[in-house]
Parts: sequence; C-alpha cells; structure tokens
Amino acid sequence: MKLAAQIGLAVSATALMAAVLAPLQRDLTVVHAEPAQINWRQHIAPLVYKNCTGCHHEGGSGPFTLMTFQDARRWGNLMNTVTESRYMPPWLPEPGFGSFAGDRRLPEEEIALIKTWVKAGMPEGDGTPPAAPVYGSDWELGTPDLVLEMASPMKVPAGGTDLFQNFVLPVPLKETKWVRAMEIKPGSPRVVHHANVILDPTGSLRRAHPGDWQNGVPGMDILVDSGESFDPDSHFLFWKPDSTALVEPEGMPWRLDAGNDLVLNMHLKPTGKEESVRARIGLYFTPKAATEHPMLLQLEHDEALDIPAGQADFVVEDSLKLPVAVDVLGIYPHAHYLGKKMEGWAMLPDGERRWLVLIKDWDIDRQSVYRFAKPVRLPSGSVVHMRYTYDNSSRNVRNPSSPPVRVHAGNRSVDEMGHLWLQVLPRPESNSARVDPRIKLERVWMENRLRRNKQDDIALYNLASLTMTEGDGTKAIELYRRVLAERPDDVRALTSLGAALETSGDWQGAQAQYRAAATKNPSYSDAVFDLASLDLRHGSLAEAEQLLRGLILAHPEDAGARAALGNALLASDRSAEAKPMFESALAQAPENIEALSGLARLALNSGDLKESESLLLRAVAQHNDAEAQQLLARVYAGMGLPEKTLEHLQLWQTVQPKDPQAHRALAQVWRQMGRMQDAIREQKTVTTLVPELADDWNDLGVMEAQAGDKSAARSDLERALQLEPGNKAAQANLRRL
Amino acid sequence: MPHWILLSLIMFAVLPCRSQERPSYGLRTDGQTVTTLAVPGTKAIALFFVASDCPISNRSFPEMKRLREEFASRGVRFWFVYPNEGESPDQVRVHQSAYDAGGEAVLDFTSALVKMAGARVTPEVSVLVPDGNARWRPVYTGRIDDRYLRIGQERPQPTEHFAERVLVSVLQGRRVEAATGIPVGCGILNRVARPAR
Repeated sequence: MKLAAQIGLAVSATALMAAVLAPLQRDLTVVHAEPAQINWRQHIAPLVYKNCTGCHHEGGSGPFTLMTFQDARRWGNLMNTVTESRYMPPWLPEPGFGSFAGDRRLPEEEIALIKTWVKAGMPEGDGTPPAAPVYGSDWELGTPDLVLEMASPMKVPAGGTDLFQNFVLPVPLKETKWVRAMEIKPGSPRVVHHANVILDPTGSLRRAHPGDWQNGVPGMDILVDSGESFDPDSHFLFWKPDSTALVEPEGMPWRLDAGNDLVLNMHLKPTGKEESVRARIGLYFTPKAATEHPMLLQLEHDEALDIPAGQADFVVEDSLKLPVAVDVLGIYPHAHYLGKKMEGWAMLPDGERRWLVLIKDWDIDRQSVYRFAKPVRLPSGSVVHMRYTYDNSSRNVRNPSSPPVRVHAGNRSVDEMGHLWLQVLPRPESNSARVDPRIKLERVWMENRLRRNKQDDIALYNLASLTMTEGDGTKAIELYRRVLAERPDDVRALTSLGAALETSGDWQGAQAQYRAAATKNPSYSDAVFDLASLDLRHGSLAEAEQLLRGLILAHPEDAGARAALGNALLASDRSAEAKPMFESALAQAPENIEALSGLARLALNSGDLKESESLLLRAVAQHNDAEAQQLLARVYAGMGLPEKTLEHLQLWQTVQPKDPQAHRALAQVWRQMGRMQDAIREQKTVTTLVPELADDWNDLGVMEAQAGDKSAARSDLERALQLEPGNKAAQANLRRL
Repeated sequence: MPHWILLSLIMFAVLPCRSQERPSYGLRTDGQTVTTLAVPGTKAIALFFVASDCPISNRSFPEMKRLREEFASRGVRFWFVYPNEGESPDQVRVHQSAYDAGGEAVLDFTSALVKMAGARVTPEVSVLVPDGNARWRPVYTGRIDDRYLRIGQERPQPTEHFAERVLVSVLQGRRVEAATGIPVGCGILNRVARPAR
C-alpha cells in the first residue's frame, strides 16, 4: 500500500465572473486613452473575451454571460467591484512569489480600464466590434478514445452547505493504456466548482464502499490504496471552472491499467434550485509510453492540526530535504475553510530562498493546481518548506462553525487539512548506481512522516515495501511487524510480512503469516495465492490444491491461479489433469509464463523437446524467468547442445545469483565439457552459499580429484564426512583417492 | 343587442378607471395586474426582491422559500418581486417555478414596489405592515440573512436570520430591529432604483 493520492477536494465559489486561462496581454495600448474614449468595442470587449468569457458564456460555468455589450452593461458595476477586490478573475497566488502558467491575475491597468469605462457610463463606442470567441459544447480534442460516465446522476439540493462527493468510475480496459490528455465534462458546470481525478489502481474506494460507491462517497479528501508495487508516477488531474482538455507534456502520459478506477472528487455548490449532476471524463490515449516519470510529494503535518476555538493565527509547518535534484513542475496548496495564509518555499544548499507559492487570503472556493511557467530547479539537498496559518476565530467569515469550535484534521468540511503537494520530476543523476531517484524521494518523504508520528502505519508500510524493494528482508520484517502492532488485523501487512519472511528463508514463518491473513479474510486472494504458492514449493500439495481450487471458483478469470493449480497437479504426478489446467490459463492469458513453463515441462517429460523449446522461448521472450531458463537448459542438454545449455544456465544464474541449484547445474555442465577449473569455481560457489551439505563437498572433491589436485580433493571429501559421517559416496571417493 | 355593446364599452372603460382608483403593483406572470398586495386582515407582507439572472439571488431562494413556507400560514403574505427591466413574464414564470413553485411572482415594471420598499439589490427583503389607512408601510428593508458579506465573501451558512427575526417581531407585536449592513447582490436595473452597492 503505497501512500496514495490523498488529494483535497477542490472548489471554487460561485464565480460571479471568471476568467480564461490565456495569459494576459500586458501591453494593452489603450491604457493611456482618455476616459471618454474607453469603450466596449475597442477596449473592454478584448479584455473581457480574453479574461472572462472562458467561464461567462452560454453553457459555461459562470452564472451569467458576458459575451455581448448588453451583457457587459448589465454586469458592468459588478465587474468593476469584483475586479477591484480581485475576487475575479479567480487567482490566489501573490505576484512575485512563484511564476505560474496561465496566471489569471489582471494587471492594475486593466482593472483601472474597467473602472474608467463604468464611470463613463459604459459606452459602446464605434467601429467594428471584435469577434466574440466561440465556445462549443463538444470535446475540445475531438471524440475521446474512452468516455467514462458517473453511474447515475446525483441530485444536488437547492440549498445548504457545499457538498464534497467522490464518484468511482471503473475503467473498462483489458490492457494498459497511456493517457496523453483528459477532459472532464462536469455535466452541470454551474454546480461543480472543482474536481480532482484520482487514480485508484486497486479499486480501493469501491471496495471500501460496496454499497454506495455508485452514488458517491462523501468526503473532501480521500485516501486510495496504490497497491503493492512501487509505482509513484503521478499527475495533477485537476478541473476548475474554465478548464478545457488537460494535455500532459510530451513524454509524460499517465498510465491506466486494466482494473484501475478513476475517482472523481467533486465540490458541488448548491445553486438555489435542485440540480442534477452527471459528469463524464473523456480520455485520449497515445501508443507512446511515458519517458519521464514525475511523482507527487506531499508536505503536511495533520497531527499538529489541533486549533483552539478562537485562535486567529495557528501555524502548521513541515519541511522535507530532497535527496535528489528535482524540477518542480506544479504545486497544489490545500486547506479547508480556516486556512488563511499559505507559504511554500525552498531553501537551496547555498542558502538561497526560492519561493514556490504565497497565498495571503486562502479561499477554498478558488483553489487550484498551479503549474510553474518554467520548472523550478531544486538541487539535491534543498529543503522544501510549508507554513500555513489558520484562523479559527469568529472573524473568519468562512469558519464553518459558529461559534468556533476546536478543530482537528479530518475529511469533513468542518475539519481541517494542511497539504502542499508538489509534482516533481527527478533529474538524472550522473553518479547514481541506478537507484530509482523516486525511491529515494519516497523514502525521505515516508521517513519524514514517521519522524512526526512513530505510529504512522501508512509511512511504516510504505517504508517496509521500499525496504523490500531494496532487498533488505530483515529490516522489512521489523517494519511490517511495527505496522501490525498498529493494525493487527491488516491482512495485507500480514501477507507482506509473510513475503518478507519467505525472502529471508523463514518459510514456516511465512506460511504462518499467510495462513493468519487467509483465515482473517478468506476472500483476500493475495494471501490465499501466496500461501498456495508456498505450499506448492514446500510440498503441502493437498492444501495448495484446495486453496487454488477455491480461488478459481471465486475468480474464474484468474490465469495465475489456474497455472499454479496446474503446477500443484504436476507436482502430485497428475499430469493428465495438469495439462488442461495450464491450457485454460493460457486461454485466459496467452503469455502466462507459469502456464507456458508448465506445458513445456509436460512436453519435456514426454520427450517432445521441440514443443518444449517453443513454449519456453515464448516465456523467456517476455521475462528472464529462472524456471523457464532452467528448463530451456534441460531441453538443450537433451538435444545435445552444450553451448546453448550453458547459455541458458548462465541466464538462469543472472536471475538467481544466490540459488545454489544454478551453480550446481553449471558446475556439472562444465565438468562434462572437461572445463574443470570453471566447474570447480562454480562448485566452490555452491559450498560458499550452502556450506552444510555433504553432497556438495563430495562433488567438489571429485572435481578437484579429476583436475589432479588430490590434496584439495582429500580435504573436501573429509569435510563431507565431517558433515555426514555415513555419506557412502564420500567414503568410496576417499578410498579411491 | 344594446346589451352586448354596453358590455364592450364597460370593458374598455374599466381599465383606466380602475388604474386611477386602485394602485398597480405590477404584473403577475399571467399578465394580470396586481392591484392588491394582501387581503384585509393580513398581518404582514414580505417582498423578496429577486432576479432571474442573479446568482446570489438564486442561491438565496432556499431561505426565502423556507420563510414563505413557515410564515404563510401565520398571516404573512409573500411576493417574489422581479424589479429588473428586461424580465419577461415567461422568463419569470419559468424561473419562479424552478426555484420556488409555491411562491407568487410579480413583475415590478413600474418600480412601484422598489420605490415603496426602498430596495437596492437582489436579493433583498422588505417587510410591510398595515399603516392604519388601508395602506402598507415598510418596517424593514435589507438583508435576508448574513450569509454574504460582500461579493466573493460568504459564510458556509448564515449565522443571523434577519428576515425571520423581523417577521417574528411583527407577529408578536414587538419592535422591529433596524436593518444593518449592506445588502449583497446584483444591482436593480430599474430607472427609479437607487444605485446598486
């Protein structure tokens, strides 16, 4: 369970006048015109079309249109008021504290222009009126490759407080796709004030809410489960009222796998009458996989959010030292209604302070993701800071509680949050030993969380997973045990602990953990499958078979379970039953390596070397699988092709360098080929890896003897007899020596 | 035959005659003139000034509807007054039915009600009481509640319900509090209305 996207819901107040994303034209030539000359046709219309009509058009999210002179006259006084107060266009970041793409902030001259025009009685002026922009209702990029829609419309009541709702949209894909662009059609743009799309790789929200996921799960912020693998690729998939299609930068499409859900996290604002909302998401695919892999980092200190009623300046801070150099691509500050001032900056190793964002008057209704105009380069060792100030006094008009009450972190609008999300792209490291820099980032992020809260089970789990990825089973075991101290019934942590124990060689311990997980939740297929696989490897074939048959019953499409059952049957000498099982696995997943290997083994056993070779080549074409390489070596040995045998034994060894079996086999082949020194080297590796087996020492002795080194041979054979005094082969060999 | 001619003459004669004798408060959405705001015995009239294109007015409808439903049976007569130039009866009918189908709308095309109440923006409420001479006089014209502080600044929900308190005071015969704060909304587009705030 990697810590997943925990993204705050977004919002935007009733936009009385909003703006388009287009950057402002700073050099309007009309600024110095005489007041009497300021008119709609020449001066105001271009400004309005550039900054306002992106929302304020028919069918747009703005509550009225500003497309014509008559519209502008109707709302001229209001335009003057809201531009002067900077309520519109909605833009929270202070200028000079971070430079963002699509900056909506109006320059002073344009605000003055509107004021002058309104004061002058809003003249229309002469000349040809400028062409108004055209806003279509179609998908901006043409017909999407895939459209997802909310299962049913949601009824938004006429009044009351804002609603924050999460809708699960299952993705009906059978294969992985790369998404180059996405467009959200909120259905009723005047009701939806913000939306975040969150990728739920494991369908965790749907699982957690089996009864109501189709109707929407309430909550401002959600936590989804990212699954087992370390896959931190993440993107801001954010919608605000003037958003059109969200096109990802070149090389940065996002991956969508079969079985993923998209969660549409929406802020809905009642309009005064009952409304119906049914959003759609249009996805555009590209055949090109991502070449750049950004990830999201979060600064927060939610445990510190314990804001006394009445306190007007409660501060929460967090910081994170970056272990690698990154480009910061975007930033998403998020709090609920008590947030007031938000500061985000980085201290560079040379002492320079580089601002990322400053918001002086936070307003959840106008929140946004901000993408930097140019990526902000932060060298390794930079420390990113956040400092949020909260106002829980009655003077904060946005305070949802009247009178104010003590407030803690939480998911409801009356709770608080303090998150600063950064989208970063790690820069390539020249001297790195090919460690994924995102692993380093994830590690410091999780360690940071753990420093603040030693019981942070998400951080503990993620750290344990990272530690496993890095190959330190012992440390991972300790971390998983700490997770289980917090969450004793967590079947995934039990299963992961089992895997860590298995990696460390304690298969009985692993079996106990898998069994505990499978007993606590018999439908948790990971535990059942891992237990069955372990049983299979350690001869508990009856239990393995029973477990796998149960799994297949529950998940008939599970090719992995079918292939594993094939292996269980094969191990029980029931080849006739195993074969159709492998075949059915291949019917489900034509490239299932287990099934290919299983069928290849059957072919090998029946002497059909060609068939076996063909199946195994299909298997290793996808993945350098140890078992398939081993079998291929056997096939080529059977064909009398020692060079190819050697080649595949060596490939096997590259996958499992610490598997003595691979070294034993190589030693035997070298010996048969007469290359005794190579044979002895491999066999010595065997005795280093497993020094306690008499047979290995005996074989080494034989090889030494055949190579003419009688003294070494004697010593090895004696060692064999020390370990196992009754070893008949060693006794005979020593006598012969 | 004379009978028919007579009737026709009366019909033509009645309108100017009645408009002189009885006040016009505007038009209902069916085109009928409103000549009486309330029947005798009504304890108070609440005028909600609204506009079909004003978002804050729209978002205040649930509160106005709540008040109407609570106080209509207690002797208060409610009107949703559409004061803006350019509102058409059809537009108002559709709008009123979407936001509060049970409420009655009047198009204040002569600004009679705006003038009488001194309303400035939509939404705004005016509470009228009998003046003793078969006429009505406003005792409160101002904010419905304190949800909106200014454009762009609103509370998640109101903490003060002014209109409700005024109606309770009137019904209990108590002194009505004075209107405070500046009504927040959209300026009334009407030749006689005061400038919008």
